[in-house]
Amino acid sequence: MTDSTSIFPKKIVVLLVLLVTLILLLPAAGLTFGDPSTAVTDQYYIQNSQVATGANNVVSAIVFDFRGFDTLGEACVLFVAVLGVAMLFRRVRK
Amino acid sequence: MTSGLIIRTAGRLIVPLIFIFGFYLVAHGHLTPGGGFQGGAVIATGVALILICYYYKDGMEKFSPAKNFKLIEAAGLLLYICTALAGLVVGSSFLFNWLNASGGLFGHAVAYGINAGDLFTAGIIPVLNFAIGIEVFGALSVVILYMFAGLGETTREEDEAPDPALLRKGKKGEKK
Amino acid sequence: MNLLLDNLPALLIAVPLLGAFLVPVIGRFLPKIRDAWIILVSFLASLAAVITAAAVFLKGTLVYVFGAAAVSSAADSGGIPFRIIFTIDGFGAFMLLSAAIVSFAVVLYLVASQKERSGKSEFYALYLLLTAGIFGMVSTGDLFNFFVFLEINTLAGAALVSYHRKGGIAVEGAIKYLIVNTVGGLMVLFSIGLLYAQYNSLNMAFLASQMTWTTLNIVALVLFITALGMKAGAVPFHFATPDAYSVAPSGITAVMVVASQAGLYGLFRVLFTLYGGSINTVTIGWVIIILGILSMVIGVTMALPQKDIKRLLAYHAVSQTGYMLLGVGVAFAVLGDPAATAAFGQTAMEGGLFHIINHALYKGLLFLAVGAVIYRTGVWSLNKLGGLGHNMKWTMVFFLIGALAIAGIPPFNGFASKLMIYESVFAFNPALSIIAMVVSILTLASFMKVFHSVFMGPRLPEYENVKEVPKLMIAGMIILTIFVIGFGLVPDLVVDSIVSPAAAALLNQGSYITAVLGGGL
Repeated sequence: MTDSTSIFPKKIVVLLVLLVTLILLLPAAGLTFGDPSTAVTDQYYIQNSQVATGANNVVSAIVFDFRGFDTLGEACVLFVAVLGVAMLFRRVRK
Repeated sequence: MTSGLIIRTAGRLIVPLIFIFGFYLVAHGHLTPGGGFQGGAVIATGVALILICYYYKDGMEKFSPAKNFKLIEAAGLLLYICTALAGLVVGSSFLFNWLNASGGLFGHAVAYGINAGDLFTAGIIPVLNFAIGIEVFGALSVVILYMFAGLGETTREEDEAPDPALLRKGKKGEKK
Repeated sequence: MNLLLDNLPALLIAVPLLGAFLVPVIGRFLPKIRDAWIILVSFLASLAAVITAAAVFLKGTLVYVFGAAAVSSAADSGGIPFRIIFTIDGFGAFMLLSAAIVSFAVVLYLVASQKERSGKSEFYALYLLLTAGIFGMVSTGDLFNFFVFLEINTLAGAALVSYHRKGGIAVEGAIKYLIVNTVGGLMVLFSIGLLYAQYNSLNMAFLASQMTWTTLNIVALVLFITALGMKAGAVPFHFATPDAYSVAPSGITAVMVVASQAGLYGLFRVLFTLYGGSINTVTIGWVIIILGILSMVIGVTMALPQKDIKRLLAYHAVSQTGYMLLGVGVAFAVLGDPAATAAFGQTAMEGGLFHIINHALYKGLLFLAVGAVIYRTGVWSLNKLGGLGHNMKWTMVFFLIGALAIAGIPPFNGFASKLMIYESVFAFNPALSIIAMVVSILTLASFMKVFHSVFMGPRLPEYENVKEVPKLMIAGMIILTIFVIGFGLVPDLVVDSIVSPAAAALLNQGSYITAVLGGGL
């Protein structure tokens, strides 16, 4: 499919996309992820999650214990998506 | 119409192995990388392999049509929310880890440091892993089955579909 | 009983979710009780929301920690919250009330109007999930949890919009709604990532206590305003609203209005509580005011020439969102000036917030009445309708009440909130108030045209046999009418008991932080 229906020529669209991407990447230059001196929450999780939850896998401990409510929300999102598909593809029995 | 002999035979050999591997990923989620979402997706690929070997009309519809998988999915989510509400009964908050270090089903306590990995630890986390695994397996299977079963079929709808010729000219302008 | 009362915020989400997960099971094995089940679950969910709101108005901010040993120990060791916390203050309780009333009234309407359709199990399950998503979005005190509920709202709303497939037209509206809101959700996620990387916490109260005015925070704020404006249907981002509202089932459109107002809740929460007084409020306040003015003017001028009734109502919904943005924008612009806030800023905020619940009620009533007309006649174009006042008397009365309310005529509720907005905005800048009044006059003109062309006039031959709609649909509309008339007759009582605590909770960032973090931080 060609883009003959767009009012902007192709070059301007590509330039706009690159510009927005650069603007959104600009903050990444000033961020430091994972620096232990500033990451208080992360250090708490690493130190205490094994004893507090009993799981060796810290990722599972965070996903299912510390933030288990968000996992329920994400499971609901999957349920909603499947219900939407089932509703769209339903066949009418007369 | 089914696929050729090689695919059917290889499928019959491989599908149980896929299910076992997916179940292992779900069950060991609190010890090794893995967990409910990853393991459930692997089990769903087993269903996809069954569909490739035996098409929907001859194989899957006799084996288990899409409406059974919807029940499996709902059962997984019911297990999750009932486990979460059980924390209220114990006297604490919703989603409290009431099986941890309690001596019950998954209740061995864990000390800080490297250990060999005991399967029966971590409280409600393995239970939630199973619930999410069942749910993801049911959900992805429903999606695969609906998309496969609808190939080449036209759907009938209750509302009158507007004539496509009218959509371009008058009616579209009127709806503006 | 004590167990239930202590854990109300968890039950607020768990009851509709449990109901939604059981609907496919009941639809498969016991289909006769499906309608009764969903009315029961919706009633229990609305009851939980009303009791929670009453508890917040009587006792102060409710804080609930998920997964902790004791329910209200927010700050685990070190003073930083590590778990997900629900923080329901006055503003959240206010939004819960409006969502509870509208969602229960619409359930009664939908059970009757969708009786002869297929795929009802999935439809009702999605409806309960949308209700749970709206309740969660206005109660949460954690930014990533807010994003998760935003996702649930987007997907459930888009799927519900596409229920009548209509040969693809409804699906097209649903796809537009899905794309616009998903892009908005991604922008919200990006902003949350920026804030987490700087302050290493996802809790709103903790972030509010640490917030400063740096470049990265400005970028995050701009992304929040854009994304939540997309969800609420403010003007440069309103493209999904008319298409989605006009093709959805009418009861669903009434709930989508509440869902887009939950997006407004997010916007005000980010502006007032997360950023609060640490930023340059005059500039950002003027940005919100300009968005409001654009929404009002463009919404009503696009609504005037419409022939499709529901599309016309959708453009009016965009226009009324402008009123809320105008009122709250004025309050935000004078946030740093205590004298001006006491003089007119508080009234502007109260007017904007009161307009939120009024709009949900009368716009819901209008959509339900128009849906009743379409249910009986099957026609949505104003050119072909006419003379229905002879056949459908109840519907005509409900539509008339809704039209007078939206135009701001006393004694209905639109007048009270619009008067508060006019007075306070006039004290801020007279030109804005005059624009608001002109828009109100144009709204009245537009609704007089619609009322005349649908209900007045001689009885047309093709509508000889049109009867009144079933009793359950009328029951749903009666519930909304009671609140429209009631809020209009005693506006002082309503403002003092419901709206003033909400405005006070928003204006007072410190009390929010203290409620969660326990003071002294």
